[in-house]
Amino acid sequence: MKNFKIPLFAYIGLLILGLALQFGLNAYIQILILQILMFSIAAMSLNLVNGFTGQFSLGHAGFMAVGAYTSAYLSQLLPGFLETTHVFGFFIFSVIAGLFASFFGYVVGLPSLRLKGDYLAIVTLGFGEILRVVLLNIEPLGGARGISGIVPYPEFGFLDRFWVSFAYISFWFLVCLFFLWRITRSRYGRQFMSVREDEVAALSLGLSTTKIKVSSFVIASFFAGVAGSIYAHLISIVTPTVFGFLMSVNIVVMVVLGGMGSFTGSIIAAAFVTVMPELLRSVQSVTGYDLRMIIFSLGLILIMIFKPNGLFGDKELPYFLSKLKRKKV
Amino acid sequence: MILLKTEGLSIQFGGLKAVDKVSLEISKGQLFGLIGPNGAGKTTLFNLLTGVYKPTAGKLYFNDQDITDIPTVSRSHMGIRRTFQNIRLFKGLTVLENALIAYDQNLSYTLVDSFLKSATFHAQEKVAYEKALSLLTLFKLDRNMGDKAGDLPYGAQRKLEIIRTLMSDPKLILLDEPAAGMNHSETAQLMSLIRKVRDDFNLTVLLIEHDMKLVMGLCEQIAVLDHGLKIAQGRPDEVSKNPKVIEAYLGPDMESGVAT
Amino acid sequence: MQDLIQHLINGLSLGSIYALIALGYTMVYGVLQLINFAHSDIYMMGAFASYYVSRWFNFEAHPGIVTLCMALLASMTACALIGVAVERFAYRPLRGSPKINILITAIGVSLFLQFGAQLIFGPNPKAFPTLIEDVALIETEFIVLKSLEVTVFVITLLALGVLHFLVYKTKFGKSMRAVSHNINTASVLGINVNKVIVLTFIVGSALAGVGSVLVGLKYPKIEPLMGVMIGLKGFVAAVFGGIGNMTGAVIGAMIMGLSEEFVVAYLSSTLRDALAFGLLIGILIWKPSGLLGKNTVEKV
Repeated sequence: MKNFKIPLFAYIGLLILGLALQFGLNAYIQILILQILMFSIAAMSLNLVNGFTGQFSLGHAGFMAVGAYTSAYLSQLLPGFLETTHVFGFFIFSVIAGLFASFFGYVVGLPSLRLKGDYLAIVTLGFGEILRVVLLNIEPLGGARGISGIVPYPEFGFLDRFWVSFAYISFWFLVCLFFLWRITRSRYGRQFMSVREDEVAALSLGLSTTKIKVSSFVIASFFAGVAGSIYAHLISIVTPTVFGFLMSVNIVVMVVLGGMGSFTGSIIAAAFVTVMPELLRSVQSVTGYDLRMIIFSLGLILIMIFKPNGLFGDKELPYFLSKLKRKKV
Repeated sequence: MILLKTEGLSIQFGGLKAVDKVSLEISKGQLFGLIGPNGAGKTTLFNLLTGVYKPTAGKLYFNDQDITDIPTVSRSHMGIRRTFQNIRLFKGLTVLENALIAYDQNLSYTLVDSFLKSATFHAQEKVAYEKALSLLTLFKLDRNMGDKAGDLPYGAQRKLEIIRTLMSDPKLILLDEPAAGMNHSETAQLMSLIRKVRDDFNLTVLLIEHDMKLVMGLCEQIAVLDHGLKIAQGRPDEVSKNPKVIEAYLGPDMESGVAT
Repeated sequence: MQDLIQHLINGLSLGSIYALIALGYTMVYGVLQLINFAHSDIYMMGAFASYYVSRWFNFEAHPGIVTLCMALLASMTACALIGVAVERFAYRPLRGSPKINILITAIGVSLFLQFGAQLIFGPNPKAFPTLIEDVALIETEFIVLKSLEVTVFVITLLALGVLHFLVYKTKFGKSMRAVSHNINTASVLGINVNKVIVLTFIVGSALAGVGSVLVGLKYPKIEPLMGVMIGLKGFVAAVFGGIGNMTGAVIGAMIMGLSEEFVVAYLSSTLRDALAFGLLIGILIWKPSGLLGKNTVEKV
């Protein structure tokens, strides 16, 4: 499998990094890092829809919710399963969660993407809200309390919970990154982008724009579902409110801030958006007021006005590395 | 043989008859011109032929097949391709990417193939790349392969649009004012390119143009539209002397032939 | 029977308020093709503005038409000012940018107003002053009409009447309709597009301001997030009626108000908010351009 040299080496590198992080950092930062990886998956997948295909989805957290609840429910339904299969069971749950989320993606996406204009934004917003209300009212799924005590990632000999979580989440992180990277550098990427650039021209070239839009949406929903299932076992509790509009907005911000069309950007922005509120906590302790949301919303407006292409535009890491190399010469 | 036939093709927007019972026949391999004053309905006719608009009356046949109700995407698969009056390139994509995406209907590898970078993936991409390169070279855009399409000069953008129509071996290409904004030498170049492309690729070409030198010099048959109606059709020399055509362009009570 | 008529009145009353909000969304969408997410929060600010003004001048001690009008004025002014500021500083710099950027900015403004309000006014609900004594004006076997409802109807009708006059009988209205049709043509024809847009925001926001006072009178609790749900419903009503179409917005709002009232009365109150989404899904499946919307063909 020589085509997978890079991802394999990257994974091994990450596993080693995981060891360093396991012993070198306190638990608080460790959870933060895991969250960054998880949100990176959400942001990268949303980037496919918003950035590459130019469609505006405001409900990504809703698909995460589907994945999270699926994984949580399954782990409660089959209590011994995860223990006996070790990490492999989590993997199966994540795949089921992703598939279930992508099914919803299809159901939501197909009717709304057929329409021209801002309808996807409206529909996905509505979907997120409807899902929240539905989950609030379904008792078998915990209602307002949600599902708690979800099985976390286990220990593995001398490797503690953090390392196993890190190894598992990094795996999906890399799968998501490399899958999206590769498909966007193929005819599929060209299809997505042509829809973004000019639908009329795309149609005239024989491209089924609706099918293309729905595909991007279904793929993105799959990974959102996976990210959701990761959330469930990472945080060990899922409630209807956590996957609300605000989380969807956060993920949109990660995509736009990082640069629509740049996966590198999504990852870095995911880190930024996840870490910022924690850093701003110190501001809170100084002034006594929680200014984080105000700063967040102001920042959003300012970025849109002054740096609409985000931090990375549509460029990726290799581009910047090559520019650096050229500078050195 | 007749490649494209319209029978009483019409479209009405409210009270406006943009295209009014237009009947034409275009033979395979023909270089066919469509002229008429601004607002005559030429681009609207193109939109009808490509399925962007649905006609309010009339029928459309391609290769003897009734395609009146067939959507744009399918018509492209059948081999009908077009350029746009206002240029609709994928501005954010490179010149090469614009060409490659136009080949997409000939590609069949799957998402899995892309992820695995399989042999099929490489092989098909190679074919696509080579086709793109040959056309880009023919139109002298190969040096601009990596440029963003939106950064190209106007004339080059028009050429790229034509390249896009040619990528997947079309049968009929519709060019909407391909020479707009070009100077004399560029226009002459374009004329010979269109002729060459028609000969080498076994195409039929239907074009809208205002540049009379190009139309008269290139086209074998010309149809004239005015206010949605076809007012004349014939060889260039016939059309240029047709008093109805002269009147449409220059208004009534004018002598002389159509301005060149 | 009395119940049925009462529900009808309630439904229309609710619909009137939704209409006032829906119009703001639809007007801005008409001229800018922008979903003004901040509209619901401008609405909220109006409620707070008139709350504070009422407190300051102790309006509650003199309930009646005069104080009501002053409260309305306070709300409308605040809303109009905020609306103008938002347009000028957040939306105008992005004129011509990709849609997604503008939408995100709108979300940013909305969040800014929400959390700003929470910070400044505190997150706890406040009691809106009683500016109208709620007495029964007509009390028969079939119908009980109370002064509050009448006030809501009268004010809404007045507002809609003024709006109708503005839009169809003034130069501004004509300009606004022109800009809705085609912003480029309008500007080429000499219409000061920026002025039209600013005025659209003023009128749309002011209407929301009227709505928020009426809501304050009917449901005296106001709080920084009060705009969220009602804004969503107003927006759905606008989409239902055909986004960009003002008559559609009013019709959509009335349908929403009536169906919400009847669903809660005869089915279940938990479905109250879900109904809005039901209507949204329904119209998007059946006629996405809305009841009165037209499917405009893109010029190719």
